[in-house]
Amino acid sequence: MALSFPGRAGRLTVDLPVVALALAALAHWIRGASADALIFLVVTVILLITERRRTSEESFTAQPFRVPGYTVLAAATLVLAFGRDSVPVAVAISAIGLAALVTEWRDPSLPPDRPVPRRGWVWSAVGLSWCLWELISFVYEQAAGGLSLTHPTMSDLVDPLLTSRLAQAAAIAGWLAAGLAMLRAAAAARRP
Amino acid sequence: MSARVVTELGFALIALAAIGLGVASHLAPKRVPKLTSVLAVVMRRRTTRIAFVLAWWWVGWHFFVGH
Repeated sequence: MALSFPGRAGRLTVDLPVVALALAALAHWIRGASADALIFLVVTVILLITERRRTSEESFTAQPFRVPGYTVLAAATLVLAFGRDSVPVAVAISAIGLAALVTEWRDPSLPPDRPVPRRGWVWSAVGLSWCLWELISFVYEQAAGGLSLTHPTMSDLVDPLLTSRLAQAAAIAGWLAAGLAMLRAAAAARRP
Repeated sequence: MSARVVTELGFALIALAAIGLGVASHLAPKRVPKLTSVLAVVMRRRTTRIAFVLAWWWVGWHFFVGH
């Protein structure tokens, strides 16, 4: 079940990723991005439903979905040609996201039989620090009526840097490369 | 020092920490694990996989489409 860690009787714990998704949906709703809120809410609900279904080892896919590295260059070229907020870029990003979600949704959770690498917590500390700092800025921004000059969020800081198409192309290449590295790590997790 | 500078310094410090950890994990992988090796373990759970993928996708959507 998504709301507890299976096999840990007596240690009923809330599944943090599911809670994080629900909180993200709430944050999007508060900032007025109802479409984003709906996407996060729908994914949370579907995730809760699919995690309730029992799965077996046979339900694992034989081969993880592979994305060729040249798609990074293709995405950068697309942004260079059309710029952000264009229909081709919107279609490409939607397709990439949908493909990645479907790929990762196919396989159920694996048993937690591999230990987290020693000192792996340092990465969690950096990630949580960023989340906390972003949350503080977000709260200040909302309190200031949606635009905070004193406590800018990451979006407020990064957005002005993406005015030129060259910067946009570099940014989308970095975004896609990071995503592919993450998907490859997830694929490595499914190898026996 | 203004509140804006403090906020920017906070983000810069976190970004520098991430870059520093990334470099350290390549120079001394026995002391600092690579991010991908940590992800490979935590992403064994489907809920974590989906949360990470959705968060990553949203960043792309937010900066390149959602204006």
